[in-house]
Amino acid sequence: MDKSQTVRRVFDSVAERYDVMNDLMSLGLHRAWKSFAVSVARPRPGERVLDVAAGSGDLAAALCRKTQPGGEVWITDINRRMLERGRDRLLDEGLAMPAVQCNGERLPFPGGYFDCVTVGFGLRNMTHKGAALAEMARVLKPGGRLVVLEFSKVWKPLGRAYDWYSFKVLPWLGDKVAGDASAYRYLAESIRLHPDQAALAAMLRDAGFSQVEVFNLAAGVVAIHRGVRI
Amino acid sequence: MSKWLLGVAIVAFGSLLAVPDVEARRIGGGGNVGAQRNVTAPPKQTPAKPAQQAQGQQQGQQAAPASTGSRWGAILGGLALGGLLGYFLGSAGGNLLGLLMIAGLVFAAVMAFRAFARRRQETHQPVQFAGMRETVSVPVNELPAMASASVPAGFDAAGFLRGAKMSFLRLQAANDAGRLDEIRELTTEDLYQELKKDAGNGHQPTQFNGLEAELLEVATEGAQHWASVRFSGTISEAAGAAPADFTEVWNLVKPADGSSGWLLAGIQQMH
Repeated sequence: MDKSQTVRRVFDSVAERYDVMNDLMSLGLHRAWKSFAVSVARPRPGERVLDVAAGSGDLAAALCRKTQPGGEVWITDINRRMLERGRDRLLDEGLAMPAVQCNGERLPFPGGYFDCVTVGFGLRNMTHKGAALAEMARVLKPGGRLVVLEFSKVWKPLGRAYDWYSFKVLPWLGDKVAGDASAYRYLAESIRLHPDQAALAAMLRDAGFSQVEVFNLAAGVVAIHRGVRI
Repeated sequence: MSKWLLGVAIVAFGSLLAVPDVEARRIGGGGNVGAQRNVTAPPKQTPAKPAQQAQGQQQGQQAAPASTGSRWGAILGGLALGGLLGYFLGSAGGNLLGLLMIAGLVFAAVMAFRAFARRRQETHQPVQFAGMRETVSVPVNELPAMASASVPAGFDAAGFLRGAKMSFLRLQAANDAGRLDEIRELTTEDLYQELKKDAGNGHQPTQFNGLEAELLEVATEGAQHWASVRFSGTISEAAGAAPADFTEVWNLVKPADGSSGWLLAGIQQMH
């Protein structure tokens, strides 16, 4: 099975329990990480923002409130079930925004359309990360910001505890709560294969971003990369 | 001369500082407008009938996960932080970290099982349909097959309400920004004539924090289908204004021959 099929199967399987699993796996910290990512993105009223791999719409909700009045937030996800869930959750919060099912590596938007692009816990699941980053650069205006929130390399002394947690505890939790241990084993493996802080920063520069900054959260369990499109 | 200059200066600066007199109001201005219908909505908090109590319980349970979520989030966050601190400070750091992690996981597991149990209980809760003239308890499992006086059998209420919420938010945004074409697209001609007088110009958008929609009634009268939807939630109608609760009923109409989609025909307040 190739990667995109695996990713589709994983998210079809976990869509219903996605939110509760996020809380369990991160011990609730994912909320703080997302809110920090939004403050790093610095959305302003009237701006156009694209949230790629929007999932359940947590980032998009905060971005939408901060870009009013006059702003525009689009959500995309490659997985239909996740996108529908995100859209419905946002509607329940009183937020209506355009939702587009598409591949992050081929965004159906004109060049230079957005002031800011965010991707929260989504880049890791894309097969061609370089191509995806180049697409995000393309749809950004010159001077636009890209914010990537993603799992990263944990601080070395914590490495063993983190491995034990991700390869033993996560699949167990996944089995008990979401009823799918293999989906969460995929999660742990994909985190391990994801480029570390320095490698991802280099990928951003290669894709045409400057002033690349990295913010480590929870000792590097998660990192935020921010770049400005030249 | 200097007084004259001062006068000019005051007028000039005064006009710069003047705030445009824009009062953002939600569409319809929070009053009754357009077609009004005689829909009976159940009183919100009267614990008289057992069926309504069941509804109250169910609402309480729906609200519960959010609040417990944030409370538990803080506790678990604290635990995680404690774990990290313990690791840094303790000489036998590894053991302490392990211990704290296990404690955290026990908490997490308890929380998960409680959420499970709650959800399982919810599916067995009878639900009372709003807008029914007589209260009837129907198990949630039998929802799609239900036939009632207010909502015809086979009517896709969930899909309809999703579309209604989308229209509701689109119309508020169009009203804020003064996009009359969009308002016209989603409303009947009569209502449009009334609404266009009060459309805003985009300076202060109405913002919603939470939006619920409830289908009160679907009826066919002559050549028209009518649907009444009760919207409720929290709204702030001006920049920096304190959010306030609101409830209003939107009456939607659609020609029975299907020549157009659902259009907003009237807004009415529940008093």
